[in-house]
Amino acid sequence: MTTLFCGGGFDGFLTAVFEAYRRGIETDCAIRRAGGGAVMTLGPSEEIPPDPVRAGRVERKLKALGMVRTLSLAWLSGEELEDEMLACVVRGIREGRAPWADRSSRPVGRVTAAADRVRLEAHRYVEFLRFRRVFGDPPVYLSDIEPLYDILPLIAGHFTRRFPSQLFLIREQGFGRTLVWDGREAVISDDPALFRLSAEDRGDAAGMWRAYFESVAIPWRKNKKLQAHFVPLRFRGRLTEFGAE
Amino acid sequence: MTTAEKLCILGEAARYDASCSSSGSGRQGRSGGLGNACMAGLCHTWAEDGRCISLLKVLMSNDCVFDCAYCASRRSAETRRASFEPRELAELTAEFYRRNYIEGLFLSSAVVGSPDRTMERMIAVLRLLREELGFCGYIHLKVIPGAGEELVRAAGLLADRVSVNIELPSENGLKLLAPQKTRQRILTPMEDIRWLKLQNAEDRRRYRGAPLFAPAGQSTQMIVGATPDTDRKILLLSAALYRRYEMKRVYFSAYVPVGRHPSLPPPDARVPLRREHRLYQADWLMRFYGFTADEITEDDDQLDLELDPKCAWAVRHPEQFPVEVNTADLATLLRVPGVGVKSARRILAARRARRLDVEDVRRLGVVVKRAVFFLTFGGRFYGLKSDSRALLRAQLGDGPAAGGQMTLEECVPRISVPAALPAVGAAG
Ligand code: SF4
Repeated sequence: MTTLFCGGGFDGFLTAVFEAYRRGIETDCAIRRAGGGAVMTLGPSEEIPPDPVRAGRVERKLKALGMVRTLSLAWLSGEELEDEMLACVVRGIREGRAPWADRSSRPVGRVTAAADRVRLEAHRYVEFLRFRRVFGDPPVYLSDIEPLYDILPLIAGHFTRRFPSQLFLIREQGFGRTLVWDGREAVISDDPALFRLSAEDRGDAAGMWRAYFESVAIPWRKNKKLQAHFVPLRFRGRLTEFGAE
Repeated sequence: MTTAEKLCILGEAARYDASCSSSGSGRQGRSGGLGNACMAGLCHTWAEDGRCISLLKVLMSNDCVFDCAYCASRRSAETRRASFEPRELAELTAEFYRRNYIEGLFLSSAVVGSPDRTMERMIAVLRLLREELGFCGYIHLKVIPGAGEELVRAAGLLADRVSVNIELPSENGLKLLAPQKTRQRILTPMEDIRWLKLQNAEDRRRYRGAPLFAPAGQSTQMIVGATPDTDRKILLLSAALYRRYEMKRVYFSAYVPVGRHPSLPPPDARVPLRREHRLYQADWLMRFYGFTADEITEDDDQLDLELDPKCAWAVRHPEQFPVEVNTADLATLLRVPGVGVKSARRILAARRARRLDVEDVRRLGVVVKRAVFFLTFGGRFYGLKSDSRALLRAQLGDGPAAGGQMTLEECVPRISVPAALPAVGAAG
């Protein structure tokens, strides 16, 4: 069995899919991420450099089948799901429709579950991201997040649509990337200098929010277990109402 | 008094309003504006009581001229009084929103002076938000019973959702506990809202640019356990409210018995939390699973506290089960305990590709430990061989009802009846 090593993110995966089909080995090959650690291969292997044109052709085909979003989310999970993703692609193209409804199939179940995890992480940061008002006139708002997956591209649109005239930065710790929105254009930057900006909050809104948060809980309905279920501990360090400065 | 102090007093007074939903509006943002309300189901945090906080839920004022026996803001209660200025509250809402603390505002109020005067002050907040601050986030406004139709119309044109609390399930309850409120004063604005929404739909058919009236519809809330009204009565009333006034939601709020009114439960009575939970489950069955209030309460006027209403119905109807997972239609699958709307749809989709067994069904999100008693998988049945209802109940039950029926001592250790009673049914 041939192993195709792909680089360059999701585009690289799509290029490898193109290559597998071109050679007619789509049901008899493995796709692996290049640089993804030591991989034992049982046959010949080859590096497939990302090619935007070939990736684009596969993307168009998969888009028409309604498969791109779930596959790209599963890819973002960083989990070793290349075999399952390829199996889904092959099935989707063969049947002429996305196989996502058939979660009882193992590859579909694993890919959709991974996509769901990434989607949930993005959803949680849409809820749990907190801005501080840090400097300037007009004010600039800043937020630090620590997601499990690289979700910045997934949440950028939500925040730019929601705060069209608010200047803000979202720093993604761990991935070292920052979303910068200046009211006109959103840029995802790798500039480390952005991480040196002070995050000190100006204004008294954070204190009022903490006090409000305390006051609205009904003491005789206390249910910390339920609260912990909905707000897992890993988010709390950055949540204003749980004491984050 | 500082804004922070007012916020604590008026946030605390609003906390018994159960609704915190910000869905159903679809309001888009606009260039140069602030926010939108097109994403449903966002909860920004959860309070210590496990309830979601999606909206800044506050009263405009707790300085009430009414005297509802179950409410902390009632005229005769000894409590600190506070009122927001419209601009103060509008600016606070906008700043919380900019920080992504909230999806919007839930504004209710005690009756200050008169219903019309109160509504005018609440509408002033909404105008500032929408017109001056460009706020396009979600707004839920509680309409004050007795307010004029013009004010209801103005409110609906600014808010995403409007609501009027039905408060108690019966007119008798209202007479006893909230003598200044009448069923008529509550139902009239509900009818106004329904009518204004219909008119608005007609206007928008004619002029596409006509502003939306309460795009997320109306909802209501009732207190459970303050009066002897049965679950059957509550569910029948809910069904009628959904039908007649096109309610989006009917909320239930378990009564916390700390009042001293002779018609209220004694201070040491249990807080009916499990009952409230069962009512929500029953409400869900009526809205999404095709059950009627009559079916849910066919045997007993009170819901079974040990079994959820769907399990209780299934146990009462052994003649309907088991059903074959590979052939049952959607309506039948929806009646199977452990099968939700999503998983029922997934079953229909998945079985186009293969015959399903227990493991497949588990992967589709079905709660198999319940469903196995009511399903067959390719003709195989893994449930109980015996017909014993008691055995089946034991397998499905949530444990003794008392587990969810907390006494006041259990919930609030060493509490003395406070001078300020909690607002079970705040406002309007
Ligand atoms: S329920 Fe409303 S009207 Fe009645 S006392 Fe409380 S705030 Fe006033």
